[in-house]
Amino acid sequence: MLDDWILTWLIALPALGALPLFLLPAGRPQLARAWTLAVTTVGFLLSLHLWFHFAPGSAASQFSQSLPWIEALGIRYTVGVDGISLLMVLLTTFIMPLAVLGGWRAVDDRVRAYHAFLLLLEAGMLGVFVAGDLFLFYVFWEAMLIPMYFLIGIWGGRRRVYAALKFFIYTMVGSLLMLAAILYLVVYHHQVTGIWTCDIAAMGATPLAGRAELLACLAFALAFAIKVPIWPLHTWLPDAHVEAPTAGSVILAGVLLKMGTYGFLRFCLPYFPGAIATLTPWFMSLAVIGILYGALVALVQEDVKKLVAYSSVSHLGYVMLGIFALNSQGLSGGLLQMLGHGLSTGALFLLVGMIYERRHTRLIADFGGLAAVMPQFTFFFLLTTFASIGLPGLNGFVGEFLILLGAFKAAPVFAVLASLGVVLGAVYMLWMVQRVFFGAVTHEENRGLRDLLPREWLLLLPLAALMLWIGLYPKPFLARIEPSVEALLVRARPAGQELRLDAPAASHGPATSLSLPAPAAGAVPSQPQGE
Amino acid sequence: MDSSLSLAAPAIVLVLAAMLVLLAPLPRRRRGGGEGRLSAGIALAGFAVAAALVLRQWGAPSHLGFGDRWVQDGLATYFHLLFLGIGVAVLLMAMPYLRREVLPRLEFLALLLFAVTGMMLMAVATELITFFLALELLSMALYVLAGYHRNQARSIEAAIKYFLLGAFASALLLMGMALHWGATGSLALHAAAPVGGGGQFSPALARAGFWLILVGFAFKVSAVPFHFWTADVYDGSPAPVAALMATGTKAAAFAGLLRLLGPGLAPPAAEWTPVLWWLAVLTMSVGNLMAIVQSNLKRMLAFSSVAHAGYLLVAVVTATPGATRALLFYLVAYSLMNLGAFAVLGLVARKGEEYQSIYDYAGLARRQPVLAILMSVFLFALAGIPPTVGFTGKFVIFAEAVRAGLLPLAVIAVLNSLVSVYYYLRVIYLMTMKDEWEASPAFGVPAATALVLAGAVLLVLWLGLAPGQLLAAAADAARAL
Repeated sequence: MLDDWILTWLIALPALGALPLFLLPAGRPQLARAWTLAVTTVGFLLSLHLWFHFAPGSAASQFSQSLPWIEALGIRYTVGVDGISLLMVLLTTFIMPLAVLGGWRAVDDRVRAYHAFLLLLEAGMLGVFVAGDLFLFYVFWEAMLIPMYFLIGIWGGRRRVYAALKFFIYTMVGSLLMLAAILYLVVYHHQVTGIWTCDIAAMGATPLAGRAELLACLAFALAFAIKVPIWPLHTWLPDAHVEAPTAGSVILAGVLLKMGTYGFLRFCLPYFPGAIATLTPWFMSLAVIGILYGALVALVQEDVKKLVAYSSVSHLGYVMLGIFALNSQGLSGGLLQMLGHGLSTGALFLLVGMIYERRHTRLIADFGGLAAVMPQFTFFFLLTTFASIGLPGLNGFVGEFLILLGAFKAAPVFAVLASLGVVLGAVYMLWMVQRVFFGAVTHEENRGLRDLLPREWLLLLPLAALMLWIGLYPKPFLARIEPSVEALLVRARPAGQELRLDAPAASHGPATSLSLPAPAAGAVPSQPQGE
Repeated sequence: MDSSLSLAAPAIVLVLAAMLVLLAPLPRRRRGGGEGRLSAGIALAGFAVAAALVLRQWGAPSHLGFGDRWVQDGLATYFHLLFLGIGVAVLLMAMPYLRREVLPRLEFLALLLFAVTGMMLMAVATELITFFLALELLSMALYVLAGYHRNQARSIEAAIKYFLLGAFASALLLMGMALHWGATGSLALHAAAPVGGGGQFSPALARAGFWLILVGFAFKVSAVPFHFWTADVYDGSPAPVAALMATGTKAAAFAGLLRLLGPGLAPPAAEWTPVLWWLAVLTMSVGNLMAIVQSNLKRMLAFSSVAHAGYLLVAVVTATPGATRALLFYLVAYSLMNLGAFAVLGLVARKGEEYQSIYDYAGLARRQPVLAILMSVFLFALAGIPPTVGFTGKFVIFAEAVRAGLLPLAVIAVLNSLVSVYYYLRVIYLMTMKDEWEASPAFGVPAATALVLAGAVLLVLWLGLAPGQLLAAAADAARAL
């Protein structure tokens, strides 16, 4: 019973938890904060059930539930998690209480609405990761924009309105084209099989071909590429990340960006293997450009928050590189890096938020010698920095190492260029750390800064522990994702390299007006082979 | 004849209610004093009785009456319920509005009842003369209602413009009907309608007649390039009247369009599909682009209604039973969102409708948080963002278009909704993220309007999440064609 309903409860808990907020008295913001913290913490504890009862050897969708919803259109309420979703769900439920705690003192205006939006956002994000129906997925994918729009636009920094609008419009551009592609897929599936369904798994069994496949793949990829973001579609990111309130930045970097890479894993790779084979060199190039560009731009930032924002562009480039390596090392590394980046960048934004609350500035030039004033803070900042730049023993290393290994097997040139990004990453992070924390105290105002409060310890300890855990013993994580990764590779790898189990399904032929497959790199998906 | 009368019973009830509204309060009026409540009660009772009578016909097989000039099928029943619902909502919005503006209520109610009667007749007509009479009944009432704020130049201007362009459209329609009759000797909109005698069959003349009739309809649904009256008329008309025109009139015109393009009068679909394809594209695109540059919310909603007519035309072009279902579903969705938005607009505009600029919405979230939330829901719904009925409706329409092989049209429609996000979002941004520039008078939310808002918002969200039943009802209705 619990196993059937747990995912629904996980989504419903924050969604319904948002309502009682408005019954709380407006004059007692502390109550709203405590309530939200309680709801998100219960959500995290509930999600731990998934972690412990997930069958690690299986790639199947677990804890799944499917109820009829809009039968006229073949739409069902289907939820479930595989290894890929599992990590993302846990990342979300783990980050949320920290985000609430991190913004504890930062928001004083309209506190109840702020927390309501945080909870609705959590419900939306969890929905995206567990949805097993395309319609359901799209509903969550779009609905999630609304709370984030308000979080940035109402409680953000100086240029918040611009950033919020840019975030919303950018995301909508991709989403709506994806909607068209979803409709096309559903209709195509109906033409081939005679069944009206929006089931995500079933849809993968009727591969498109040729130009239709390429266009549909591009429509999906655009939506996800904007979210990741892949260079050159990244320009909304620095604005949104920098202007968002601390909790918003943490969630954006920690979870929202992963939706893009998650989308590639969930849809683009299994649905459009032929198109992916064609597009892989392009995506790998863009990923490497993103890695180097993000690192170089981060290098010259004067604002710590902006620096961290651009570092995300670089880090997500690694994830994309790993995914498009299309081998198990690359994909596993990409997934682990998604998790790791969520933790370390989330932590960095929290740390930046802490220093901003104390000094109301984030300019590197306004600091210097903080190590002497705030040793505890410095310790955590350094630890997170090391995790971020991939020091062995911390989470960043495992992910980046696997990604580079995978990329090296697939395309050595890209791997070499990406390794250059690792060096640059160390340079911009360490240079920033040196200017902020070491040397003499250059500004008198910084002398009196308080070190970490108990609340902030409470925030940073679990993050630090998890970063160490993944860094030292990633096996439990890898064990849970590996079967899903292998299953994904079977579907996604170009036909020439790997046995294709699902190929005969394409022989029904495309009943569309679009032209027939343009053979690409020996990867025509409609070749039945491997009997 | 007996069965004909029972078919017409809902319409007859509405007409009787309209007369009663005008007559009943006379003794009290002579003494001076509140005439509003009693007449509003009569009108509401009229709507309720009519709805009950319509509901009795729900699910019944289609009937013909009045010498086969009247068809009561599932489609008609569906539209009748929609019109009655719109009528009640407009009535509830209008009562506090008229009290605030110190305008007489009796005449308004009577005209509203006549207008709804006209819409109902438009949905049942099987031949063009009956249809024309119904349209004129609706239009006459609307001409007066548009100028109902008779001390305001804006309102008078709206009435004159609406009357002139409406008369122009009617003339085109009549001319088309005449040509068609001359060519074919038939005015049938429906396979079962009576076919008159005489007339030489001349295909070219019949075509010309059809196209003229179509242009007349294009005026009524405000399709581009026949939309120019829309913004001016909505802008000047009292807010509840604008709501009635945006929702009821448009739905009635689409009911007529469905009948016109059904079997009977229209040439084969291959002839008009390309034209309507372009009409839909133009209507969506021009409506959305024009809405972007509006700073008056009423004008913005007017252009948004033009754009929505475009989305509805996408379903008309698709012309499959599934698309008809989608069209019927979307008409309900569209009516709910617009009734809600216009109800908020009527409140925020305050006395004399002075505050219509979108900048007057700045800081609304601080002054009236609930109203700002409701308006945001309606605007997100209009923009087609889930989990609202606006999204589900668009999803169904676009899905049917793709299914019928009209992928490019669906993509254009999807891109258009992207454009629309921008201007809807701007109002939301002003409400929630800006503070008021200068102090403006406070205002309350009357109970009747609150009822409309609550009903609209609940349905917008509920039908967004659970559209199954309404979709099934729409599918039943679509089967009638």
